[in-house]
Formats: sequence, structure tokens, C-alpha cells
Amino acid sequence: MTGKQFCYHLSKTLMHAFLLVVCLTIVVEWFRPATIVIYVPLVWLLALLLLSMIGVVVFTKK
Amino acid sequence: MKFILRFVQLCIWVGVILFFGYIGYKNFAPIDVSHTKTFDQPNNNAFVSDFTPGTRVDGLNTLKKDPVYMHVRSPRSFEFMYVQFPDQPNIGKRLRLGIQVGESRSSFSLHDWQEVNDYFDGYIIPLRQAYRDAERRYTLIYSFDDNEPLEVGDVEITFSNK
Repeated sequence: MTGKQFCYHLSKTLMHAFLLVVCLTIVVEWFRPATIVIYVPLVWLLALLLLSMIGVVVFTKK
Repeated sequence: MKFILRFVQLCIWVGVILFFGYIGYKNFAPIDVSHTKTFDQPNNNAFVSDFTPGTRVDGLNTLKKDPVYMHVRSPRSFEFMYVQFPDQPNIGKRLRLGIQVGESRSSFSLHDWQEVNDYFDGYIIPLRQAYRDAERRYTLIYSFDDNEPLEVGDVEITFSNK
């Protein structure tokens, strides 16, 4: 496994994790406001999700 | 290399599970309702209220600003503080409302400027964290006009076990 493949798989896992966190945060906040965002603002989560998505695109095998 | 990748992936998912576990613990763990609420006002005119959920607390109208009434709204748990501005003079003014956690002014503020209108009958502030974290100091911040500094009219809210 090359370094590029390693980064690709890592970015993909991070993307899935942040996607799950963002979705669950939106669902929880919808029914019970200020439950999660007082610990981690949604903007931060979205930014991290975007970064991981960029990582996936950058390290994708050609 | 593959082992390291699997290990890091495992750590990521464990981190996600721990994060939601912590949120769940903080928000759904049983609440100790024996807490006594103490409201300290900036003018040292402090008073202690042992109000139960739904009881109105009128003591805060000794503030320099317009009266603010508070009561805990949820009948089952101390989840929300209900801040009410009943006086007509506030109509048309812009209200900024938030909660400061601890000593940092830059900490979380729930609501931003809103215009007070005829339909405005109060504001609900989630206080779940406050009632679970009795050691920290929470400050209700409000101001009725753009030109008024937020410092004026602050209400210190402390929670203590007695």
C-alpha cells in the first residue's frame, strides 16, 4: 500500500465519519435544539467534512 | 501499513461513538432536581429562589432595565429557562439574548438580534447543560437596543447544591 492509497483510505473514513456526525447532529438538533452545537458548532463539522471530501478527491487513484 | 490504517480507522469510529456517548450522557442522564437556583444580580441585590418548574420569578425586575421574568418551563425536567419581556415599551426595539458559559465573553451565545413585536411573548433558552454542571457560572446576556452595551443588564445565574 502506497502513501497515497493510505491517505485516500484515511480521508474516506474521515469523510464517512463526519458525514455520519453531521447527519446525526442535524437530526438531533431538529428535535432537540442546542444539544450538540453547544459542544461542536455545525459550521466546524461541515468544514471538517469538506476537508475530508477534498482529501478523498486529491488522493483518488488515477 | 495496512495494520496502521485499520488501527487509525478504528480510532476514528471509536472517537465518533465516544462523542455521541458523551453527548447522550450530558443530555439524557438523570437530573438531580435538588439543585437550588441562586440568582446574583450585578447590584448585589442577590436573592435565592427555590422555585419549582413553572413558577414565575419576579425578583429580577429590580434590574435597571425593563423587567425580565424567568421561569423553568419544562414540567418534567429543568431543561429550559423562559425569559419573558411583558412590557409594551420593548416593542420595536431590538433584543439580543444569549448565554455566556463561564467567564469567557466569547463563549456560546444562543440568539442574536431580534426585533420585539406584538407576538413576542418570551424566549426559551435551553439550560440543560447548566443544570448538569453546577460548578460553572452562566450569565444571561440581554440588551434591548443596538446602542446599549451588553454588559448593562447582565444577570448572573449560578447553580449550587445546598
